[in-house]
Amino acid sequence: MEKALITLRINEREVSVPGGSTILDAAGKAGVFIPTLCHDKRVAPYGACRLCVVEDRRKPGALTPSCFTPARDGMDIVTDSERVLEAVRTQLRLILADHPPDCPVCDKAGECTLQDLVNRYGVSGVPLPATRTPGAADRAAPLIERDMSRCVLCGLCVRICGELQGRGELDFVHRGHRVQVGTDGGRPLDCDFCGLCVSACPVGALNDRLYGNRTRVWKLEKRQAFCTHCGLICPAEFHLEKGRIRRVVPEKGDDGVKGLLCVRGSFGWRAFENAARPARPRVRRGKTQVEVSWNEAVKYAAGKLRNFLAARGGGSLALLTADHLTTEEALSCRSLFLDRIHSGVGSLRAGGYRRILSVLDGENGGSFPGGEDRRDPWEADILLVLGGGAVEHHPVLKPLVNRFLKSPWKELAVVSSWPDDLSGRADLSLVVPPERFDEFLAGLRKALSGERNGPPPDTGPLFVDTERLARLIGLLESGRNMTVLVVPDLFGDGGERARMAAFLKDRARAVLPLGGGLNSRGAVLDAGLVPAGPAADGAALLEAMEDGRIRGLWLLGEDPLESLPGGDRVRAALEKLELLVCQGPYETAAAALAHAVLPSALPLEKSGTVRSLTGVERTLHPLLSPFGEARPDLEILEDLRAALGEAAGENAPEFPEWNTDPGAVVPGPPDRPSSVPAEESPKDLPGGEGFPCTLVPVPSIFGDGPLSLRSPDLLELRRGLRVLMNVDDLEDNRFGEREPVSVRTPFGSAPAEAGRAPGVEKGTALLAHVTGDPAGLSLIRPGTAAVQAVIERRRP
Amino acid sequence: MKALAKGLALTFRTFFRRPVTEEYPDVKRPLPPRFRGRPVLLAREDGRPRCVACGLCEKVCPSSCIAVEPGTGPGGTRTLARYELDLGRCSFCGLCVEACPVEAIAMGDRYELAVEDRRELLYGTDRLLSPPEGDNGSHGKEDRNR
Ligand code: SF4
Ligand code: SF4
Ligand code: SF4
Ligand code: SF4
Ligand code: SF4
Ligand code: FES
Repeated sequence: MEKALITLRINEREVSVPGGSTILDAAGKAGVFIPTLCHDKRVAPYGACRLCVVEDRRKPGALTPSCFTPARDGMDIVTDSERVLEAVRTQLRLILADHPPDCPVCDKAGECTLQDLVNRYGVSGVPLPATRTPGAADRAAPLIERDMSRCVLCGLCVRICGELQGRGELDFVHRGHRVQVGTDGGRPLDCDFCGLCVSACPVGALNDRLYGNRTRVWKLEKRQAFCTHCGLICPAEFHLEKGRIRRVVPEKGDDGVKGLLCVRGSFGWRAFENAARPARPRVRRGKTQVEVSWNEAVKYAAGKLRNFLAARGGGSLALLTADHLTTEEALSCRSLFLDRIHSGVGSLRAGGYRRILSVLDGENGGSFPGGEDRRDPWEADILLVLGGGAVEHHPVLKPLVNRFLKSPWKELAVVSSWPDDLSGRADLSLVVPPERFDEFLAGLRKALSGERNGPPPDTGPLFVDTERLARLIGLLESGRNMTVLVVPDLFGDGGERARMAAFLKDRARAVLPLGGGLNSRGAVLDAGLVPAGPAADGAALLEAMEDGRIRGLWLLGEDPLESLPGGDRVRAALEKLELLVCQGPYETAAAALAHAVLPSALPLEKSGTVRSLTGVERTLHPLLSPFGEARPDLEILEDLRAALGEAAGENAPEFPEWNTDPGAVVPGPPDRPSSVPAEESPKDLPGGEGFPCTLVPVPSIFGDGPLSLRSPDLLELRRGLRVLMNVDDLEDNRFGEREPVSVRTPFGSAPAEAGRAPGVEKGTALLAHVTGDPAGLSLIRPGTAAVQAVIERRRP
Repeated sequence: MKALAKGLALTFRTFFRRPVTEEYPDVKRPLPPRFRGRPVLLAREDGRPRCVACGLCEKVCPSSCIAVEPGTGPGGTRTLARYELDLGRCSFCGLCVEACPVEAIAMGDRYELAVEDRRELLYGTDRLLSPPEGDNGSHGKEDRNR
């Protein structure tokens, strides 16, 4: 609905704006500057600073704050009369009287709104007796420094944290002239660390500690790029000095409105400085690995691959990708591995996403809603989230969903297997036990496809509150404009969710699977690097490696020891492999077992096209120079292809076809299968004191991707493996918050830290930060959504 | 003849005048108080540099010869980690002194700065801070020109 235009005059300039705009918006359109200190378009206007005052000629005598006063037809606004200017100056003087003269040591200097305004309005000296002295900054929390002596009480941090991030970590404390921004009880910040408050603070009161005291803002080269930690690929501004990243801030759009980032985007960039990377290619010689030139390495890898294919066939090879390939690279990969070698293709971290996506894609004959037709998923009236952990996979969804819910008549429904962040704020929230989730979805599908007028669907076996279920079915049948987000389990197989997504496709405006890596969507949809063979699913892959159907792995940035649950079984399976190539940017645990290690470039070190989970295409440009001799995957793959082709003359060699029948795979030496522990019989859980519970592995807000796990700052925030439970369970078992405990499951045991999570059922515990933790991974098996466990106090 | 006598007279007169030539480098002229020698860093009472690493001198320097590297001091405040001045490029303009908000840099009075290797012209914090042989900053210009 178009709003009627209204016309007003600002400093003699006529301007028309849509109804509902503020005077400040209108001035922006007219190109008239109005000073503001407490205004940020990401949150609602507030009116704290009164710097934005203007005068209306038709109402002489009154000064109006323009940031929240709606413009009206026929207004005649003046922003530069002597009265207005004097009011602004007085206001600035009052602020300065309560502000320390810290500019020389303040990181904000050079981009400080207060400093700029004081300069612009020519307020000089200390105009009033100064009352504030520099205070000690609070550096108790990681990443964010708070220096409240510099705070101008604009309330932006409080508002952005409450309104947008929905965390409400910061608030005004104390009253009267002692009022301050702080946390409850003055404890150190312990929040999502999204950094939005830092990006909103107009002065140097909230500072990025990774940036602090390292440079000056005028020395920075500002480059537009993208966060590459997850598949949303949020636009971000990278600030570089001499080729090194100094900080990452939300991108400022053409309209001047700043964007959103999550903790990984804002504070995860030191992953790009992590030096635990192979600088040169290595190949196995006997028992050791030696560094060789690229030529030699590619020749070696190609030779190994050729011998392997001749002996075992393409079906025995699996390609595991972390989806850090650009679409161009994925295409090259597909034409070599899928089309020519006919190997299996899978991903450990993005496996669930890829599975759901390819089912959706297949059913729709190549294009699917919410993607190619670019319908904005946020335009829907109902947001339905199926599966738990949407926000944990892609933390920027948190402010996005909050923004969505701010518009009138929007609803959020969450059907989750654990009380994740979104289910807490949903209008309709159903928590289904994780081991029953697939059953529930199947039942729901049956209920929905039944005739409308039939008896009410049998909700008995659906394990949830009948009334809420009825509301959910009502929502799904209402035919309202709906976006569906489908979230796979961390290590489960996404099969049932994929079927549900496909089922809902026709009823929804958009169906978006979540949980994908950087270019998962581009790789599957644009490049056709689709899941194939047993590698498509973690559990099947592990079994296939154990029973000899898979004898070779080509790892593209993935590491099974880091992201495939199974503990010793995974290591044993890797050690048996006849071909293991690690092509990736980082030194991984699996690299030690590899026959060849091919160092590749990180996403910010290469160029190419990627596609976000919402279907937006982004172009990557190299921002950093590659580490050591690392090369973009595209070059490596092309060289490999050339080396393979060369060997067999002009024409591509014929490789044995991929055959889904395991019998077609050339068997290995007869002794091998005997060592397979495939029928691992879960040991009984030893009794004893301790807290018996259902353990649900959940994704981490601090990132489970290979990049996030290489950021020292995100790792510090994770603080290792954690078991989060209901407050009552915590108290009943006398576990203190952050107390070291040990967790035992039928598969293994691991040390962890106890913690509290709101909304968790009694008798259930969430297992957080398990990716990248070998002990944690040994507790579970791929394909399991939940496992029985005992948690006990760790003995010293 | 007359001309010769005139010339010799001048010569003899000059003979008995005080010589104006100074035996530089054995004898040095007093410098005017506002003389601009090479920049020096001033120290606090405890000997640490006064510089707070704000970077304004670096920004203002027309020859881009200053590099200020900040660091984090006790309590998280910004402190100087390293100051480097490339005297090979300095034009002795004094803008850095004017820009400094905490009067941590001043123009000293050293002007004999020739060295055999350009690299020696890169002055680090220590050399800028404790000038050798009595060159103790802008103060005491008079003392050392005796
Ligand atoms: S917040 Fe701004 S005005 Fe205050 S000390 Fe920092 S730079 Fe100066
Ligand atoms: S970092 Fe984010 S969650 Fe933490 S206080 Fe700031 S806005 Fe709130
Ligand atoms: S800390 Fe910054 S954003 Fe928050 S109220 Fe103070 S000045 Fe405003
Ligand atoms: S949501 Fe994903 S892409 Fe966006 S900032 Fe966070 S990690 Fe980066
Ligand atoms: S005197 Fe001039 S040229 Fe020399 S360092 Fe200072 S600002 Fe730079
Ligand atoms: S910007 Fe309007 S009151 Fe602060």
